[in-house]
Amino acid sequence: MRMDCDEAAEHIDAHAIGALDVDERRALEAHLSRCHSCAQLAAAARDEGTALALAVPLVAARASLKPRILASASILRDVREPRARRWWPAAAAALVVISIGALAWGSVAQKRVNDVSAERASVSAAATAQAGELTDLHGRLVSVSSLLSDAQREAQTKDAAVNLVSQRGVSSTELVGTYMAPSAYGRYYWDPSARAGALFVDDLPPLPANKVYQLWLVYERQWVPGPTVSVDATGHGYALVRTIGATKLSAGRLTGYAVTVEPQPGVTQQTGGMVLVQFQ
Amino acid sequence: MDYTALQDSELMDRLCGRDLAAFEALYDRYGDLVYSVALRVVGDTYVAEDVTQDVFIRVWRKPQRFDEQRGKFVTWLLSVARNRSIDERRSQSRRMRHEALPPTTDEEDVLPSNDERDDPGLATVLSDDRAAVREALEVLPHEQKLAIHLAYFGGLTQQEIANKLGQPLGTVKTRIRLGMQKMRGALATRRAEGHS
Repeated sequence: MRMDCDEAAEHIDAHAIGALDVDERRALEAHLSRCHSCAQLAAAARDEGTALALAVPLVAARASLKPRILASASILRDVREPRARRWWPAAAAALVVISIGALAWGSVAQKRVNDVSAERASVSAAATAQAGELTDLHGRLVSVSSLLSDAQREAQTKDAAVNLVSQRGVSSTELVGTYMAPSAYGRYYWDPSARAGALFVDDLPPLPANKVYQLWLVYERQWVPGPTVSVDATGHGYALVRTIGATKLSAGRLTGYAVTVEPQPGVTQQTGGMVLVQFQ
Repeated sequence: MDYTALQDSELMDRLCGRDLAAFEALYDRYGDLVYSVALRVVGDTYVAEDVTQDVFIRVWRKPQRFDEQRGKFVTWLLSVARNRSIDERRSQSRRMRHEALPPTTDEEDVLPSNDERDDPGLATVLSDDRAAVREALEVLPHEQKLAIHLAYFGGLTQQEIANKLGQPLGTVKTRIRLGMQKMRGALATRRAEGHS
């Protein structure tokens, strides 16, 4: 659909209040990008449309909203802005996606392992051929071996987490973001037969180097420390909760889960604020 | 420094420098207005709070998105608030598998609201501008007000409004166009008379 000025004039008011369908809006906006006079009319109409918001009954927000917003801004001031990615719309299909994605993730991790293995083999061959560079090459070999070990561990952990999710009888619970990370999301999977769990998180902001996210199992009278959770640049991360032994009876009933910000490399007593919570 | 004395554009300039006190001043100035718009659209206090937080955090994260050349800050802020609220309303509708509906279509709940429904403590917030808009809406026939209300606060397209009201699409389009023209004329008359 291509609009002329007369047609655009008929659509500008509806556009100002968001009443056009997709095709009409695209056609109008295409015209506005070419026609300065219509664009000026549209801008004026948009201001008038927005003025409608001034007619709503004024209601005071709860007093608790302001400190919550200021705290979020304060935290975000010191971290790099993560790339927004919403997991929630896919949460219902997460199990299927994760199961299908396990192969992709495993192959990506395996590819990293293969790449690093290939590089290590190359470095070893060069060291044999050139004795004069043996010291430097040896240093590289140690570094690459370390990377290989990290990659292998990461691949194994991720495979284990994905495998847990795919088991029969696995239950899950959703963790929601607090004011410290309002768009964050988490899901904790629990395999009662293996007495193990897996946590997947999304949209957590990056932390300074001396801080780490840590999972907690929250009992009535005790917070039991879980593993730390590393997140990538997009705020996505996961952690595997290994076999959990019987908790002291004095701890009471399990009431929920929480992810907090703690000093590296994790702590035994919770000290930091909560970014993700789920309380039953 | 007395941030309450600064203009919106000055506060936004300070936001670009990550001035949290300037951000707080903007929230104090417009927080309840944004919340009120969100509440009007989503109809739930907790969701409205989340939307309000999201709107202000977006302003905090990307203050450079406000272009003073294109209009007033409050106009831009309310546009962000309305659009975010509509997005949330549509997400709620998809999750609940219900048709997207405004809180009500009862005549008495279609704008404008009168001053008696305002929180008494907020009576001075943009009082002149709000009075102008309310007066402008008063001159509209109910059918035009309803169509505009369903579009702006309900997020419905003209076709959806026509389906909902059982009216021809052309009728809805005409009502919206004429209603907006009347409102524009009433606002212009008020400005010419020097009331705002």
